[in-house]
Amino acid sequence: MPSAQEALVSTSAKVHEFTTELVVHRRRAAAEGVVALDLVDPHGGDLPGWEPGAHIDLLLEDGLVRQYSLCGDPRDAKTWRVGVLLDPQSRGGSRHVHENLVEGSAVQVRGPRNHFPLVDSPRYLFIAGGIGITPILTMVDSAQQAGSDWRLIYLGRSRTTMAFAEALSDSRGDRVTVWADDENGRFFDLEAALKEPADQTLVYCCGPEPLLSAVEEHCEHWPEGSLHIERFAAKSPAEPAAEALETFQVVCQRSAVIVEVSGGTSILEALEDADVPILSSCLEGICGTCEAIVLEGKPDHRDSMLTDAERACGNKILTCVSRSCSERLVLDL
Amino acid sequence: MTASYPTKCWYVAATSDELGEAPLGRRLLGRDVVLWRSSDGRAAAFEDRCAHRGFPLSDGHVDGERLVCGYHGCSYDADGRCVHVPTQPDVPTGMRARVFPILEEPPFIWIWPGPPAAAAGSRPPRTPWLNEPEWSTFNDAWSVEANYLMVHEHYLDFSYAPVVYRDDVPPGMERLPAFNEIEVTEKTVSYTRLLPRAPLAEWEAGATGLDPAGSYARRERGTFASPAMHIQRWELEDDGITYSNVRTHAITPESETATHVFMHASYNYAPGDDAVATMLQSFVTKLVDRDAAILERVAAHTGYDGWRSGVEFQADAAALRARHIVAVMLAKEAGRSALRPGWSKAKSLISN
Repeated sequence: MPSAQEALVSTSAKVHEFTTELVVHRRRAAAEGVVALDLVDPHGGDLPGWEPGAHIDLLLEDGLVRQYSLCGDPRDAKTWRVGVLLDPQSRGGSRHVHENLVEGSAVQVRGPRNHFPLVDSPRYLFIAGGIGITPILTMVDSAQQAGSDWRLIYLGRSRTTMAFAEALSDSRGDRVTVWADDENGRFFDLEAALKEPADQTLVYCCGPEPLLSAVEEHCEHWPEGSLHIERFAAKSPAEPAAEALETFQVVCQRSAVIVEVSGGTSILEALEDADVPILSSCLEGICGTCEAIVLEGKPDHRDSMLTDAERACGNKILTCVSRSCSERLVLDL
Repeated sequence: MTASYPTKCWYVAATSDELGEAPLGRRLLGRDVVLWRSSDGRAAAFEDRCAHRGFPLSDGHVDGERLVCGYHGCSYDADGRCVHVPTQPDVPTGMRARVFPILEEPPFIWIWPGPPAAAAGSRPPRTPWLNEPEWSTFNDAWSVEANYLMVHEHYLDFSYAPVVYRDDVPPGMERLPAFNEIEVTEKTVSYTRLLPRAPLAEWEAGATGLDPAGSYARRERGTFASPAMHIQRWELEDDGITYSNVRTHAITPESETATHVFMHASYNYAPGDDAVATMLQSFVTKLVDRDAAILERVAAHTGYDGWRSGVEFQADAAALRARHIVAVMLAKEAGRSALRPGWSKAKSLISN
């Protein structure tokens, strides 16, 4: 236990996410270029619970942090499973996982967190592209268990690269469409599939950016709130709003702290410098960890996560990338 | 009115030792429930009304593996099927009681108030210390006239201790330090607070047998394990030995304005010492009574709406996170976007 002095000087709490070292219990090839890793506590302990759509961070060498969806059984308190695609354009994360994480390897993990939660609905349309199948896998199980009506469109370049496709076709062939471009000689016709908004149906989509953009476009005429998507890479950088300010003030109401944000400093960095407790992970505006509630002021949203409706509502901000259009931004921190 | 508690969650309905030969009627989560144990040891939970005239089944009796209604004598098996109607040879087709999924993991009997099909996808928090031999445990249960989130938030912010429990915090401790650490996961939040060295409070000296005039480090930890469970740890260190007191609170809404609390208090020292057990029991009873009195005073005065629309302190950080976890669960159940639960009542207090 730390000393009394240490206890006395503490003035503000360090907020952090559950972080621990796990070991790779099992590694198997799930498809061409995809490995599935089962991570367990080295002492056999329970891991925190999670819900479909959750992801964890793998904290790799040299400060690399990568997010991977959990795709095992949420009831299994002993195992977290992730599926990792070796990205030819890897910035280092997936290559490190493929080359170094073998059975018995240790790896630092953080989380879980969930910014892609499965909202209750009588009907779902799931659309997965490639490795985007990972969060969808547990959603499919959950929807099935709850007795909801669901369909899955699973798209990929060729069947050999599509993890879990065979198991999905075998067990739920009536509900699953597996579409491999090379077998069909063309892309799947998303426009036709999404032409008629289905009654009381939520659309959940995860995959590469072109797929997400296409689904966003073809769902525009669906009822507001129908579409839920998850990104693992930032969209092309958002243009600053016309009235975006270079310098502004952030007021943290609960902590009674005021910070100045200017130039190359992000709101998040300014908050961290002032010891205001806040979580963060991706620093690219895609994971949502550093989200704060806006009590006053107009944010300049630069993230890839909030929906248009959420932006219009103006009560949330991702502090790692977004800025301000008003001179004072009051946050619930 | 929409309930403030998620239904897709396991809650404690009773402790295992409460369920003897007689059926037990209890209002849980806005429903009247009868809990009973068949002669094969299996526990079951039904809506507390006979499918015939709505008579409370908790007024009936258990006959072997059947629950018998005390009005016309209809018998139900553990799956809720009516299997015998005394006045006619065949049971009306499909006659049954509404059954709630339950899960018995002693000392708790957990109930799932939500859609039964979804129960299998979820598990209640684990509390292994309640069954481990190195811990001594005593328990108590009570009901408090306050919303269940007030109970959670009260326990998650212990900063009132030097005000409310002036004589029971370490002597000379005028205020509790801020949290040293808050740890979050998707579904839980925990905090840790380190206390400056201080002599022992009377109850600590009585419990541990240590020299009260010495100087001791302490650690206080609290965990929101689920909407149904809070765990608090008070750990005192001396000479490399940690004296732990753990209070496990199963928190079950009875209605929007009343809550059942099933508490287990565990400690890892003085095994088999009756004097320590008696002293700790009476100490905890005193705390429980004062906690309940404070909660009922605020609940009667402002209700949960008044409570939650107040100004938040830094000490409320863990409670606010718990509120957010619950808000997300409620939004998902309501079919709303869980990222924008629309629940936060936080408002700007800074005037322009």
